[in-house]
Amino acid sequence: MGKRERGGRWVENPEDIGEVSDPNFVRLPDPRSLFAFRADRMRSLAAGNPLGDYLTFLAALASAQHALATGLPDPPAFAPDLLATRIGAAVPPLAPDLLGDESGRFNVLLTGLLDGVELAAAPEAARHACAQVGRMPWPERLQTAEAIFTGSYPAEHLAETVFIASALQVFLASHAAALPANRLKAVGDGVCPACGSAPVASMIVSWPSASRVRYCACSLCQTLWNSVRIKCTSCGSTKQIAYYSSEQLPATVAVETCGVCRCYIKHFGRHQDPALDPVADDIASFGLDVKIREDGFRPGGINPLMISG
Amino acid sequence: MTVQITRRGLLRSAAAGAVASTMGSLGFGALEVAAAAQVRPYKLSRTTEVRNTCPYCSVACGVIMYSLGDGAKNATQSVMHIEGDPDHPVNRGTLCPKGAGLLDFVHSETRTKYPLYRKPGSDQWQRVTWDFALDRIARLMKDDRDKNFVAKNASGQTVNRWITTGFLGASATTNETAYITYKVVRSTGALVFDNQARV
Repeated sequence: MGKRERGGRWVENPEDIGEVSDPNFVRLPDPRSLFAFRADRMRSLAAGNPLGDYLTFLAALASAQHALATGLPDPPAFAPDLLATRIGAAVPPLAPDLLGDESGRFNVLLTGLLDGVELAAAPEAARHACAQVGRMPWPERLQTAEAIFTGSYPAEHLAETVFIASALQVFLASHAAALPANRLKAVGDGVCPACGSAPVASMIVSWPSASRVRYCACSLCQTLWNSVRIKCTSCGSTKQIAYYSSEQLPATVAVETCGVCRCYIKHFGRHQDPALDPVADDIASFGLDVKIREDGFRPGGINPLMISG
Repeated sequence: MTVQITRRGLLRSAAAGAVASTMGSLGFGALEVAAAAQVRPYKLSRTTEVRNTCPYCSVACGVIMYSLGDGAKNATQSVMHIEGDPDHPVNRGTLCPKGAGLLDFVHSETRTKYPLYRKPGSDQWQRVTWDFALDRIARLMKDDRDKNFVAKNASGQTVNRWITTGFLGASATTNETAYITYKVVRSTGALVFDNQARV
C-alpha cells in the first residue's frame, strides 16, 4: 500500500504506491556477524521459553561459532573453471568434495569449537558428547561431516552431530561468503543454491528493494535465497498452501503447510521483527512443530541443532 | 550406523525403530517433553494466502488475499487483508490507491451481489433473476441492433457496423475468456468494445 506519510510529512507524489520489489536471488552470509546475532537472539528468547535451557546451551555454541568465524582467514578462491561448470549445470558450487580438499581448515574449526565452547552449565550428556567428538579419529570426524552435508544424520550419535554440524556451519558459511552472489542460480525447490542443503525455515523480509518477499534460510551454509511466496518449499506445489499459528505464540511465527506433499516449514515475519533469526526462532517455536505434526504434517526442512522425530 | 534423513520422513533408528532426537541425546529430553505438554491445549488458527488479479483495470496487478478460517464446510471464511503481490512481474508488490482499497470493495455493503433492475420511470431498484437480466439485456441489444445496424456506408461500401451499443470486459480474465468475448462481440458488428485482449 502507498505510504502516505513519511517523516511526519504528507507525501503527495502520486507515484509513491508502495515498495517496488526487485529482490536479489541470494543473500550470502556474513559469518563475522551472523553467529553473534544468533547467540544474542537465543539468549533473549531463552527467558520464559520452555526450551530456555537448551537455547542457553545453543547460545554458548553460537558464541563459540562466532569466535571461530571472526578469527578465520578467508578461504582460498574457488577454482573459476569448476565454479563456471557447476553453475552452468545448475549444481550448487559447494559440494561434499570441498571437505576433502579443505580438510585441514575444517579440522582447525572443529578442534577450535570443542576447545572454545563453554559447557560448564550443560548437562552431563552434552559434555560427554563434546569429549566424544574430541576422541573421534580424524577420518571419522570428516566422514560424519560429509554425512551431515549430504543430509544423513547418524541416529545413534545425534548429540555428537550437533558439534560437528556447528563447525560445518562456520566452515560452509565462510566458503559461501566468498561466492559470487550475482552468478548463483536456482537449482530446485527447497535446495540451497550455494551448498545444496535443505532450508531451516522460510521468512518474509523487508529490505531495500525486497519488500515482503520470501527468503529461505540454508540450514548449513547460512545463505538466504529468494523463493516465490505461497508455494511449497519442498515440492513446489502452489495448491492447498495454508498457514497455521497460535494465539499463545508470537504473531511473527507460523508454519506453512502443503496439502499436496503434507510437508511443513516454519514461516517467520522478519519484516515485523528484524531481530528474528531463522535457526534460533525455529527452536524457540518448537511447540508449533509438536502441534502441526499432530495434524499429520512432516518437516520440510532441517535444523541440524534440533532434529526430532 | 547412518540413517538417511529425508526431509520428507522422520528420523528413526533403523535398528530399534525408536524415534531419536537431538535434545534427548544431549540431556535435554525432559524439556522437550515439557514443551510438548505445554502446547497440547493450544489451538492453531488457519490462514490462507491466495493469489488473485486486481479487477479494476487492464494493468491486471497481482494481489495476495489473506483470509481467516479453517476452510471447513460450515465455517465462513473471511478476507481480512489484501496487498500487492511482491512476486508478480507487473506490479512487483505495489498497488494504486484503488487497488489498495480492495478490501473495502470486497466487504462493501453496496457491493453488487445479484442482478438489480430499475424499470423505466421507476425510482426503485428491484432484485431479479439472472435469467430475467440476461433475457432483458439480450432483448434490448437485439432491438437496438435491428434499429441501428449499418450495413453500408454513404458511398455504398459494405461496413456491417453497430455503434449504438458498447461492451466492456473486465481485467481479471484469462486469455481464453478474452478471446471468446472478442469473437462474440465483434461478430455482432459492435465496434465500441474494450477488454483485456487489447493490452
